[in-house]
Amino acid sequence: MNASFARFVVAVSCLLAITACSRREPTSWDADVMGPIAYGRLSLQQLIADSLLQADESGLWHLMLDEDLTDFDLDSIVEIPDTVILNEYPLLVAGAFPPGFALPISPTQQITIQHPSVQLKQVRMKSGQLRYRLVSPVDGYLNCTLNIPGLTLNGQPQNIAIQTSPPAAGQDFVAEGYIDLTGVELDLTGETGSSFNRIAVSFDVVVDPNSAQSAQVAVGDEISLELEFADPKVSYARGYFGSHQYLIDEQIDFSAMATMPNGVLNLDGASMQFLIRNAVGVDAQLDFEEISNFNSFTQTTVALEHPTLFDPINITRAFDAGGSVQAFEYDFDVNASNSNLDLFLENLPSAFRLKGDVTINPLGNVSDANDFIYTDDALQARLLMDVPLRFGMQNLSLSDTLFLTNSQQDVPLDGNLMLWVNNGFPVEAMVSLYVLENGTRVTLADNLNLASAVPSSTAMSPTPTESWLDIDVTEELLSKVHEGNPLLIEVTLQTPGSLNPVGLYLNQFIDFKLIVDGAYTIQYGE
Amino acid sequence: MRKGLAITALVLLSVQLIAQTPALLLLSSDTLWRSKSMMTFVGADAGIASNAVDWDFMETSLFGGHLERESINNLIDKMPERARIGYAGNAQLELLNFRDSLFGRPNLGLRAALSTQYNGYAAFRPNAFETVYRGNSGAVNVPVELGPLAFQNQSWQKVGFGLFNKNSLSGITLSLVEGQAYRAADINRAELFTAAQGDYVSLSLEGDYSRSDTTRRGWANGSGIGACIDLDYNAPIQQGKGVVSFAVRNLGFVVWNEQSEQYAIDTKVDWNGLDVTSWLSGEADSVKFPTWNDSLNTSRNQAQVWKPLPASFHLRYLRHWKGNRYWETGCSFTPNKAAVPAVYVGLTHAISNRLLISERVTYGGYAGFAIGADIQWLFKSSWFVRAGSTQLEGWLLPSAGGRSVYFNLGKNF
Repeated sequence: MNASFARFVVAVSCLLAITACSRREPTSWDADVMGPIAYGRLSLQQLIADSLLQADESGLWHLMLDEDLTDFDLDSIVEIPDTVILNEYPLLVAGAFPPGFALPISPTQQITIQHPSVQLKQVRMKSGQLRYRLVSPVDGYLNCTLNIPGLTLNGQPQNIAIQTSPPAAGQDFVAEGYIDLTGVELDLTGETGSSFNRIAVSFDVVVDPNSAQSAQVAVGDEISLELEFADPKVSYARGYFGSHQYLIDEQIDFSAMATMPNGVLNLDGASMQFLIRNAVGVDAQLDFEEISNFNSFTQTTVALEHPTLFDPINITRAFDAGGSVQAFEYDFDVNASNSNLDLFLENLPSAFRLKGDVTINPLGNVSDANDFIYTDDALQARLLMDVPLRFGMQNLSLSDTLFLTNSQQDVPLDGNLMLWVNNGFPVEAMVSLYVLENGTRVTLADNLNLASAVPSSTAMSPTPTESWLDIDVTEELLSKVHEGNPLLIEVTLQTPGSLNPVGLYLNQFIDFKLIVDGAYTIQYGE
Repeated sequence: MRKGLAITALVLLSVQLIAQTPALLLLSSDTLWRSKSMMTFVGADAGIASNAVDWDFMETSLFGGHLERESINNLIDKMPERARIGYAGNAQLELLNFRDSLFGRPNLGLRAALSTQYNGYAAFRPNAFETVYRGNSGAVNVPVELGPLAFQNQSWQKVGFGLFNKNSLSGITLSLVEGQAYRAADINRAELFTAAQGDYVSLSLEGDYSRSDTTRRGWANGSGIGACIDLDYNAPIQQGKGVVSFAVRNLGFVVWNEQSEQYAIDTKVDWNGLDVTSWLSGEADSVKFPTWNDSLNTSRNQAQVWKPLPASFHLRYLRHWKGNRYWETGCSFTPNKAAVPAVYVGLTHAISNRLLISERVTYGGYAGFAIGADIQWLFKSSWFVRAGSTQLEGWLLPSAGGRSVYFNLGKNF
């Protein structure tokens, strides 16, 4: 074999080896597949937030709303503001003073807390700090003590004791620290014991008895002590809390909790309850100005009507029996017999509004400054709404959008998607599915009819009805879903007897199964 | 260096398809090629064959493209009840030492061989093929028996030393085998049921599945070790104008390492779809797809395992007919779940003392009928070239049941 033949063999061999064994593209074929893709069970709990649903003893679902209407902080009125108090103690003598010598000063006997509207006699703190900073120019060792007899922890008076040193490098002696106010009680009656917002204090300065040198006091020397209440929080307060008015303006947006329907709804047996609980030692007056709701689809507002709810409501102060508070509670029932509640709720509101005001101590200081508050348990106003899900519906429409996937991968299917539904609810539905592509609806399925369960002798157990819903799909159509476009679902609900109420019960479900029947392109070797 | 390149390139090409000793080396009166001390052969072969699918289907499956419905329907319409497909690939370097005598016997020579081999097959029923390629929707509400099914895929390298008779080229070679990969399934029962409305699909399976260490990948990865014997017996007849040959290839085994897995499958998988209840209620962020491991009822054993190599047995009867023509017949047998014995008849034309051209018709193995052609050329008493195909029609017709090629080059030194 000559060299050229060898080269030829090598070249041909390499070419064959490279070209013959490489995959050019994926291998694919179309197979007619039929089989289930997904299944599941839908109960009302999948459609409405758990916190809003409750079943009664008969198994009937109730839509329950429990909303706190007191967004004002009553405890805020007794808070001690962040306060900085600077006390300067001029030393009235000059010269050298031996160890153990008490330096005469002109003490400030009480500290005043500036509070704009509340006359506090006693507070108990749940957190905060009493910070201090002492500056001494005296050339000597001094024992400085600030006694605060009204500041007690577990009954023990607290003080601030600081041992000073002579100035160094031309700088006055400085000491800083703090007292943790957690659990501390503060007597705010001052030196007299009958005042308010005042703290009795005394300040002593003694040359350190253990010092080996005398203290040299120069003319004009003064010791300054700065106190600061930092972020003080009160757990209990007593005094006169003043007369204040608080506005109530609550708006509850239901659309954030559930998709609100449109159409005609006939409710049966709904009730609402306003609960007011006063655990504060102040009198109060509650005055509702407006309770209304708003349907954003129909742009309709309906105001609640009730014979007494909108009159001023006087709320008696709570009684403190040595730490055991006896609160006073009021409740107002609002139902179909004493109000237009059914009409109010049949408006299918997307939002709920409550306006009014609360005035505390409307008659002034009638308790001789013995108002009290335990801040963990103050004034409470709640709205409880109970809507038994027994209703009639006519063309009640719901719509929702959802993103099935953000995958860009196509589903190579041409054929049918079949949705088998076994409906246990006594509600008929018309379902339409669209893909929203650049704001335009592309129809996936239109007016698919989901038959209602058939009423039986037992109201809570109608006989489920099967429906087959066929959805023609193409690879092109499915690609729109997979391009991140949302799916819009529109459902129109109707009860079989038009507006005659039917109940939705705990044991009612929709069982469904999604089946594919079409040509699917199978591919491998990408 | 140039020689080395040439040999390497030929090894890359891929002689198992032609397991017998080349007839020209046994029949030619030119024995000068044995006069040198050493004869070296390099060669490769590759082939794929089926009695069920055609080359068009195989090519698209291997190299990509879309399998048209019509083609699949045609295959299904003509598919035999016992469908099979198999392939083999082999590249080999062989050295025959003619100079030294062994054990005081001048006719005894030493043979050394190095090869890498790939072998696989699948045996299946038309129902299984139809379900995979045409889908399940054409057979609803009736159980579809997909089994029995079997496949095996094995690759290995071997280095061997043996003895051969310098006149008849009969010999025996004992090889050390390095196992690269092994994967096999033997499904005795497989039944698919699709409910009338498609809301339920059930698959029953019973069988075994084995695979070698999957953590080791690539060529000559050392997943197993074994041994095998290759045997050639050539007996001249008609005073050297004919020959009877018997050959055995790859009679041996591999012990696959302790990471090998064996699964015993006896399960019924019911598929109702994905349960999306939790996803719809918001309790789960995503839908969890079940895996086969979740669904299949299998018992798994991970241990060292012994598996036989795909041995093959070959018999040939070749004799002079008239003029410069010889006729030939023989059979080959690879005992596995798919292959059937292959029988062939052929005609060989001796163009000269150093050039043979043969035609052959074969039936069996993995394919049905196949036409082969072969050329063997001994020139300058030092070079030997052999090339051909056992399934020539695969190079000409897309509807052929496979395609093969082999090339062998010999040189004495």
